[in-house]
Order: sequence, then structure tokens, then C-alpha cells
Amino acid sequence: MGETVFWKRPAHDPRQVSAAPTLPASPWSGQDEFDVSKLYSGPASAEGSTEPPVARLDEKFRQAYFWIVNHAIITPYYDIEYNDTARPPRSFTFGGAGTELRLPSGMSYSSFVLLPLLNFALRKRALFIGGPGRGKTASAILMSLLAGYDLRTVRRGIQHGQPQMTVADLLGNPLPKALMESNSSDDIKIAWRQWITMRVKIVDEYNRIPTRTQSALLTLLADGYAEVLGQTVESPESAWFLTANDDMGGGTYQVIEALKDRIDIVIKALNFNPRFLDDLLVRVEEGVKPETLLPKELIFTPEELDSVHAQILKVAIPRAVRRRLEFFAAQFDFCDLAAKEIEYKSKDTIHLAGKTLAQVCAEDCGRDKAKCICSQTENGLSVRSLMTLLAFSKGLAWFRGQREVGLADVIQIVPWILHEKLAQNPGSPFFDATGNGIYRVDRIAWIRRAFDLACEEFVRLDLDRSDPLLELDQAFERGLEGVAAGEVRKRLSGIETHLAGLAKGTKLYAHVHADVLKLKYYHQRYSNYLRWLTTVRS
Amino acid sequence: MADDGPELRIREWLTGRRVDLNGRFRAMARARPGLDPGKVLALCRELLPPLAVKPHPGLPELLDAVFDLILLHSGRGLIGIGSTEPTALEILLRHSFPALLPRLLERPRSLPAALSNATENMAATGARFAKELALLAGVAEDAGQLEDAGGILAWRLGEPRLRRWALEKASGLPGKLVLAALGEPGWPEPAAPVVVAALGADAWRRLGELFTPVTLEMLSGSPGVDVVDGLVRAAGSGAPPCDNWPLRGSVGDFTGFDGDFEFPPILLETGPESNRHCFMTRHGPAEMLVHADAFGWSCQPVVAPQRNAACFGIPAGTTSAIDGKDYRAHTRANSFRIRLHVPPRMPL
Repeated sequence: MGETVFWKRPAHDPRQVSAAPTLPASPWSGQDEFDVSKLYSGPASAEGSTEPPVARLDEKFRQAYFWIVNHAIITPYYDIEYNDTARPPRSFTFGGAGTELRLPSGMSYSSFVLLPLLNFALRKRALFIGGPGRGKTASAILMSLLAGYDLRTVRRGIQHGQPQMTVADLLGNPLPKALMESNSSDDIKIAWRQWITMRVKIVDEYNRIPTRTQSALLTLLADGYAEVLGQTVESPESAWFLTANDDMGGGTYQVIEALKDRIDIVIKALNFNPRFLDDLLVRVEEGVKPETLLPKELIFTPEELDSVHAQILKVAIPRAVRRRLEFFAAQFDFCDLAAKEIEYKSKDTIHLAGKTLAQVCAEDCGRDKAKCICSQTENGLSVRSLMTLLAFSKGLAWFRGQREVGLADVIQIVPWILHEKLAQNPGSPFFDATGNGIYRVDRIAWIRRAFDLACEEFVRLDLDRSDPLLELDQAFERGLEGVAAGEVRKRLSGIETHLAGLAKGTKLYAHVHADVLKLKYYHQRYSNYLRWLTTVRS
Repeated sequence: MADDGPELRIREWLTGRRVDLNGRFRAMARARPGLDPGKVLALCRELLPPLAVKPHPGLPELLDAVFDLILLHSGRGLIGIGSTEPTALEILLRHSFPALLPRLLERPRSLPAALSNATENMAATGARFAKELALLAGVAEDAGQLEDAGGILAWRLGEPRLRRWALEKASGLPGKLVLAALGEPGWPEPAAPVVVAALGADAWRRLGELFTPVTLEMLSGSPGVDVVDGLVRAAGSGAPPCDNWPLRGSVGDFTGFDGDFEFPPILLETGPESNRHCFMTRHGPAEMLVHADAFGWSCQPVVAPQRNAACFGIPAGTTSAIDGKDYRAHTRANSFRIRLHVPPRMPL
């Protein structure tokens, strides 16, 4: 009757798991098509399964989230905000700097708990940043416990960055006996550190690791294997959690750029709100250690984690959302003054020439630099950043029980992914505009604002309803096989007419640049096909 | 030879399946810690014997399926909770399943689960659905017919999105079953094709106003094929021209009164896909697709390109209006209901 006792525990019991469903069906959520087959489908199994219905994995993740925020980590910050379509948030503006407080009308989340969970589900690489004692390592430990490791194993698996850390400390030592007796490096046996094979990896204070050891860490983190004396060991697909007290130079060693570049998401550990001192008091008086209280039903098996990953990847990103992302991403890398040739009008060209955007952007390019987003960053978005952004957007939508990524999911996740990816150009006139100076400091708000600005421009240009490349994309996606020469000429003519219209009607803005290059790409593919077609005929 | 009796049959089944059934209980108890063994046993004692009134090869499988339903719904707190009014699932398991026994034994594994799901999906009208499902037991000739008739019943109980499907199925079912599902079991069987044709042409027609007493009497007395065909044609034809269209129904309500609208709705300009049974509305910033007919209405939130308010010749006091080919609808600033007018039709 152990379970019965569990059921009757009082509400403040630290082992209490939120009752499912954690996401009550909202009258605003039933957007899927009605299907008559749904009348006879539901929780009762019609297939004759002898097993009880398995709890949905997204539901289990939400239960884990609520257990952590209710019992494990005191984080009263609901900064990932969602609002119901029909209920705009109430907001209040406070005096001083004019701070606005919004009361979200939809279920909102604490980034400090949600983002590590998403990183855990997606097996990506997260960096916790924030001052000491903010729960960074504790949060990472909870993720390991969710993966089914016991607390002792987790603690032994944590890599604590320190200035004397060697590659051997990090990865493992050659066995002395084998080292003495071996005639070639192939015979050397390495005692690999156990953490390498764990599915959740924690590296505490990674910016205190010496540079050489950071390179060894990079190989493991980026490529999934470790090498010592010519011997290698493979690491399984893992979720990484790195912590840093101050990522902007507070560590003992400068973090190598390649390692920084591999960080997929940044999670900010916020300060403790003293109004929650009572909760701390309870922990002190009752000796509560959340890491020892994780309910068993919240632990994920390796098979469940594989299934979670597969489910997340299946979440669709509709074209309308992809278009917004394309438009936003196009803004950053483009610089009209970077090159003469259209293909090289990229900030990379400026950096390769040993200059900065701030230097080049000082010249006039005929644009309003306070408005054009391209002036705000020194760099563009890498392919890796975009892939991470797509993956986390899917993860967030899945966590919220959605089958498709919505624009709200992208808006919420963008700042955390690009936090370390976009290098700000603080000299941009944008930051000198009234009220914009704060964005030099608050990177989350800055990136969110940049996304909002991109969306406003997207809507102003009516690109939601009139995507200039939609028909061309659709025609091209249908394939070239069987397309007659006449039709190809018609499409080529259409591309040229469209390019002529763009050249006449607009400046080469960042999004136009992306469209123009794609049109050139289509023109070239069609021209090559037409050449082949006419050669075969002749 | 003495009859074994239901109790003995249940005991034999329990003995033979003991290990497996206990395993199922433990597995469900792990998933749902609130599962009470005492309640499960009491429910088994109450609900299983009426299904074991006589031996049948499908009986053990049916008992397995119902045992699973008891575990599932007891664990979810939906049955055996001692409420004054029986829940929809309690009605289904306690009253409908014994009445539907011959059909359940045809598909002992899948049919109980499907009917349980349908009862749950009917939400507020689940109890009525379960009760009236039992009334179809004697009319449905097989499990497939029972499922199809269940869909028609669900439509009648207020799920207008099933209309098209239900009408398709109705044309292939026995007339008696169709009429029973539509709540008119006393009507003569030849009335069924006429009813289906009438509802297919205009689902705003109320069944009670469809026939004159004379026509019903005529249909009861073995009418010829040509007579029925003539009535079917008349039922399926358009309404006669008339300028004064009466109010036929009001759709939607304030959320505080179990409706879907938080603000007074307005009708939206719609494309060719809309008709008197399906149109778009906006309340506050939310847009909804409304399905409606004489049996009820449902609102489904949609994400659609922004549309303008429909304002065809707005009469005084209205906020939006649609003047369709065969329906007129309008909204008012101080009302949470969409009012719908359709051309009048005379009884057949």
C-alpha cells in the first residue's frame, strides 16, 4: 500500500508530482482539424493492449518542470511568457526607468528551469552563467538525476574546472603497467574517466580550465570522442551543462573561441528574491536537499530519452514561421559596404580584411542605420546557430504540447540561443536612440527587440501574405524532371522580370539581398537545365 | 445439468487469469498511484457479472477489456467515486454494456474501449449518449452498425461537425436504426430516407416539424416506392421563395454561461467554403470556425488570415451581418449570440 500513502501526502510534500494533465485543454488550443475518428479514440485502448496507457513523455517533462519549480529550485521568475490569443496581458509601468511589468495570460515558464530541461531533452550544450550560489550546478545535477543516475555517480562525474586541471584529469590516464609493457602506442590501455560515457555531462566553472585542457574538452564536446595517447573513446549522445561565474572574462583562463562557439544555449541564473526567505528557512530547519528527493516517477529511461528526442524532431515548423526566421536571420550577416560583388556582401568579408563593422558602417550606405538591424551586430548567424534555434523552437513547442512551432515559441527562444552568438556593435546609431541605451547591457532584451523589429518590418512589407518567392519555391520543389523547355524559359523570364522589379523598386536591403541571391540560384539551375535539355534534343 | 451462473463464470475467469490481472493492476497502480484496490474489487463485483449471464467464446476477452476499463477509469477517479448522480462512464458500464452485450461479444476487445472513448469525448452530453446508446442495442444488427449509429447519435446530441459523416452513414443503415439514433424510434421505417434527405438539404430543419400527422400515418401504412421517392425528392429540394425568413436558431453564448464567447461576437467575411452550417466569427481578438445546425453548435478556434467583419446591408442595431444564398445571420453589440435566419419550409 506504499502508493496509497504516497497519494495521501500533503500538498507541500517535496516529493509531490503535479497531477497530469499539467496543461489543461484550453478552449483556445483545439486548432487541429476535426476528424470523425476522434469520436471513438481516447484514453481507453481499443487495440487490446495489456499495458496501461503510457504517460505522454511531454507530460512527464512538464511534471518534472513543475516539480523542480515547486520543490527543488526557488526561481520565482516567469520570464518565458505566453499569452492567450484572446486575452492580452495586463501590464503596469513603474516610475524610474519606465519598467513594464506584464501579467501573462497564458501558461508561462521560468527560463532557469525550462531551458535546462529542453537542453536535456535535445542533448545540446548549455552554459549557465551567473554569480556564485545561484543554483547553476544544482540545476545541472537535477538534470543528471532525471537521466537516472544516482547522486553519488553524478557528483563523481562533475568536472570541476581549476587552473591545474590536466588533460589526464579530464579524460583519463594510461594504465602504468600497460604503459611500461607496451611496445607501441596501440597497446597502451587508458583508464578513461567514467563521466565520458554519461548521458548528462557537467563541467563546473569551465572558464577556470587551462587552455590546453579546454582543447581536449572541445574535441569531446564537439565531436563526441576523447583521445589520449592515440587511444580514443566514444561518448554517447549527451546533454552538456557547463557553468561559469562570469563568462565575460571572470574566469582564470580566456575561453577558446571554438569552445564558446559550440555552446548552444545560454541560461542566466538570476539572483535570489529575498521575499522568498521563508522557503530558505524551511530548507535550513528541515534539512531539505532537493537532489535527494527526486520522485522516481520523474526519472527517464534511456529509451524514453531517445523517444523524446525523436518526438521533438517530428514537431513541424510551418512555412509562415520559417519565413519570419528567414527574414530575421537575413538581417545580420548582410553589409552593403562589405564588398562590390553581391555574393560577398557579408560581414565575414570585413573581418577577413582585418576590419570591424563599426569602421565600415561609419560610411554612408544610403540606409537609416538606426532602423536597419544590420548595423547592430558585428557578425551574422552561423549555420550552427540556426540549426540550434530550429531544434530548441521545436523542443519548446513539444514541451507545451503543440504539434507545430508557433511564432511565440521562436520569439521566446531566440534570445537564449543568440545570447553568445551575436557580437554587438555598440557604436550602432540604434543604441544611441532614446531608450535604446539599455540594450547595450541587457542582451536578452536587445535580441528580443531585434526580433520584434524584424517582425514589424516583415508585417509592414506584407510578406505574410505576399511572399515574392513562394511560387518559384513551389515550382522548383516539384522538380525539374519532365519540365518542358518552353516552361523553363517562362520561369527564367519570370525570374528576370522579378529581379528587374526589385532593382527598380527597392534598395538592396538585407532581406532583398537574400531573395536576390536565391533568384540568381534558381536562374542558374534553370539555365543549366535548359542547356542540358537543348543539348540532348539536338 | 445445473447452469454455471455468472458468479461462477467470473470466478473461473478470475482464477485462470489471476497472475495477469494482478500484474495489470500493479502496472496501473504504478502509473496512477490513486488506484484503490478496494474500489476496483467492488467495481468488478458490480460490473462484471451482468456481462457473464451466459457462456460465450468471446466472454473472457470481454471481461479482460472491461477489467482494463475499470482499472483505467477508477485510477483516473471517473468511476466508483460515490457521487449522487452517476457519471457518464458509470452509466455506460453499469447500464449500457449489459444492454449491448451481444454487440460487445462480437468485438470484445475493441468495442468497449471505443464506446468508453466516445462517451468521454461527448463531454457534457456523455451521460445522455451512454443512456441512448443502450436504446440502439435492439436495433443495431452488428457492432459496425452500432458504431455508425453512435456517430449519428453523437451528431444529434450536439456535435454538428459529425453532420456530413453521419448523413453518409445513415444512407447505408437500416431505417429503424437511423430513426432511433435521431431520437424518433416510433416513426415508421420508410420515413428514414425522407429524414436523411431533409437534413441533407437543410440541417436547420427540426424533425418535429418535418411531417404532418397525415404524412406520418401514410408512411406507417406500407407506402409504395414511388410515394417515398416523391417525399425524398420534396424533402431534398430547395425552399420556396419567401422574403420573410424566420429566426431559426441562435448560436454561441457567453463563456460565463458555458459558451465560447468572451466578448460579443461579430461575423466575418467568408469565402465560398462557408454556408449556413459553417461560418467564421471573431470575439475579441480570437477567430473561430462555427459549426451549427438544429441539433447544436460548436466553436473551433482557428488561425486564419485576418478577415473583415461581414457587413452586408447591416440592419439597425446590428454589428455584422451575412446575407447568404440560403441563410442570413447577424450579431448585436449587446449579445453573445449569433442569430440565424433560414427560408421557411412547410411540413411534408
